[in-house]
Amino acid sequence: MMNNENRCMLCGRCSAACPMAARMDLPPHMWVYRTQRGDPSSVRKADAIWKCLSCLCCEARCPRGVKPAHVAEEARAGQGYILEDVMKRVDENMPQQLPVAALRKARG
Amino acid sequence: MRIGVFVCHCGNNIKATVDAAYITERLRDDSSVVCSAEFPYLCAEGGQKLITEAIAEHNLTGVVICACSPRMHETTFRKAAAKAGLNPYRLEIANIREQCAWVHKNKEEATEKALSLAKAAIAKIKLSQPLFPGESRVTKRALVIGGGIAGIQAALDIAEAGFPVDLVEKSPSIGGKMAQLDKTFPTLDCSACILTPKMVDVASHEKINLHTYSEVEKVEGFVGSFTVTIRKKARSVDMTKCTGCGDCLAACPVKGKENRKAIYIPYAQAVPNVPAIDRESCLYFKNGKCKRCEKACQPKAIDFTQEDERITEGYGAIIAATGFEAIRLDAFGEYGYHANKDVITSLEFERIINASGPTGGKLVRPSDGSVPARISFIQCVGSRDATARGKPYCSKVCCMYTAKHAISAKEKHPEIDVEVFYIDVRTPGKNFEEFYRRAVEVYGVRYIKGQVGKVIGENGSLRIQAMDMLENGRYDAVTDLVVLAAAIEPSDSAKKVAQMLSSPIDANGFLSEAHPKLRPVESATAGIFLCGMCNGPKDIPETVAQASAAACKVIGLLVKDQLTTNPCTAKTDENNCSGCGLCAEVCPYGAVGVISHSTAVNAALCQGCGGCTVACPSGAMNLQGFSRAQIIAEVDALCG
Repeated sequence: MMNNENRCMLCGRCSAACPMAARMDLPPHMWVYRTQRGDPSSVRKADAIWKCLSCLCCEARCPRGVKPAHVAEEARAGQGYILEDVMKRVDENMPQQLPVAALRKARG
Repeated sequence: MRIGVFVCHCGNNIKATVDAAYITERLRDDSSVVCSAEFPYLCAEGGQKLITEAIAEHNLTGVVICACSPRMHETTFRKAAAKAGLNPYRLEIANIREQCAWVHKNKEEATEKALSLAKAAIAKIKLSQPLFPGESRVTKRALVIGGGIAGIQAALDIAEAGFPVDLVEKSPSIGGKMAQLDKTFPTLDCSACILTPKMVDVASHEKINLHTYSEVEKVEGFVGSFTVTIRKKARSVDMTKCTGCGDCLAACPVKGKENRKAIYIPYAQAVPNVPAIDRESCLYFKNGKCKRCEKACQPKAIDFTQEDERITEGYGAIIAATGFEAIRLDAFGEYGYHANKDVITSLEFERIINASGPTGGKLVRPSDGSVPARISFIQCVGSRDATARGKPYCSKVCCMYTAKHAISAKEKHPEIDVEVFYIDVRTPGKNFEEFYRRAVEVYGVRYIKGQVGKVIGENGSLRIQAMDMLENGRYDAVTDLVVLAAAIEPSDSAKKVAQMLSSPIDANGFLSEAHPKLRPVESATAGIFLCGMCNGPKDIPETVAQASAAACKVIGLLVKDQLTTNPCTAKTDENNCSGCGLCAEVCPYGAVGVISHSTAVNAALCQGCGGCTVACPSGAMNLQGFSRAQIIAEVDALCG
């Protein structure tokens, strides 16, 4: 499925639903907004992408079918924090939390 | 046959790409073509004169016009031909503009193609027959389905023009959703005060026949001559005897939703002011015991033995005004609508602030009857939602009625803290923006750009998790009452009614208009008209305007005694027909009937789609004006 950030209409429901938003320097809707504005690098720099639990609540609540958690996922990968052996084993059926937890550990 | 060919330049539209002089010349090669001419604008008066004079001068028996699409000017040219004494169906159009000049760049190739198209039209006209339109009678009576403000306005307008109208409403009273509203935006007129006089007018109008607690069951026929079966549901109360005194209501021991008794009048100003028994909650119908209403009723109007009654009536035109519902909120668990009594919908809030509602207009919480200290309105619950649980469109009225609710709350209790969570505030309409600004500037309603992610019941209050998009931070608060602006969808009966009327519906279930700009109150099916929310979200003034427009269209139809029918309909060749009935099976309009080893087409029902001619295995079915021989001749000419 395509994660088309342009579908976002900035309602903020993702950030309102996110259990970690209060502890984030950049709330989920801003990941989408920055990507929409052609500035995905600022998302990669944000600490928030390491606070994301990949619970996907943001995606379940989004009225437009946008996927903020997937934006964070891409940003984490874009940071180069990829343990190749972990990523090799990632497939569709693996719970998202698993690779995320692995990446967190790798970062220390 | 003596054929005349006329080639239009359409200014440069055709001439720039097609060599008109060349094809005018070349078409004379056909021995049947006795005259051919080119002209800058054939549709102009001079062009039409050229055609009519040529028909007389050359004694033409067929005319081919090489010009724009027949959609544009077929009627124009056929009228001109008829004026000159030629049967209008012996005129063919070769579309050398839309299907040739406009889609090609190479002049040489385009010219050859235009020549082929003209030759095909000539081949077709050679096999043409004169056709004569039929006539069908118009039943001078209208049916309006739905007794909300849309149906009420339409019925009144038609009746005022002098035509009898039957108004069918599925619930026991007319009035619809507007009757449940407290006030109307942006003027804050009392909804009942402006609606009830119209309801009374409907009930007392000699031309209006009111069928409440009734549903349309079957629709047959066609424009000018529909036959409709209406089911009058058993009310269990004799309408001729009931005086509307209300003694039965006082005697009924049942207390249902909104404190409603099993025998009930929907609200104080109901029209007709006659109760109905809800057989699902009535103790007598459930357990066979009670009958207290019967004992209390002095005029002996209660009738437990009443059964559904069916009536059949003929109509010339039908208006669909089936209205709307708010969507169910089962899929929106995060707002806790089903889990918390103090999370309500806007329509429920409307009932709470309404003087004739269950609380008598006292603004109190459903859970404990206390006045809320803080009210949180949440916009776009299911609206602008492209996922499976919502509706992709804007419900249009929520921004305005929420501003109205916020003002109403502040009017009743200025100390209440009122906040509105919104995505965008949309207020296009006369005095709408000013009204919304008044809520903010005069009444101090707090508008927060952002949405709510979760509502949780906590110690008798409600905790909301929201986002303030302008602060770019979380906005979490404790509130007392949450009001959800649920998206609007067509009423659940709309689909059934649309199917019976063969009226198309769109992807969201709204009845489609024939043209979104130029035929906004007509359905694509002739004789069917639309008004109100069944056609899409709209407010009361728009609904009333659309209802009057639909009524006007109906009046325009009913003043005619006869309607001319298109003669290009299917016709059975009885000598070749085996009576297999395949044609009747494929006909989408129910126009073909099987009669003793043959079939017959009802010309008034046939729309000339040609489906039957393709389905017929023996070639017995032909579409007049588009016979198989004509079409094959066209193909031969194009390929030759």
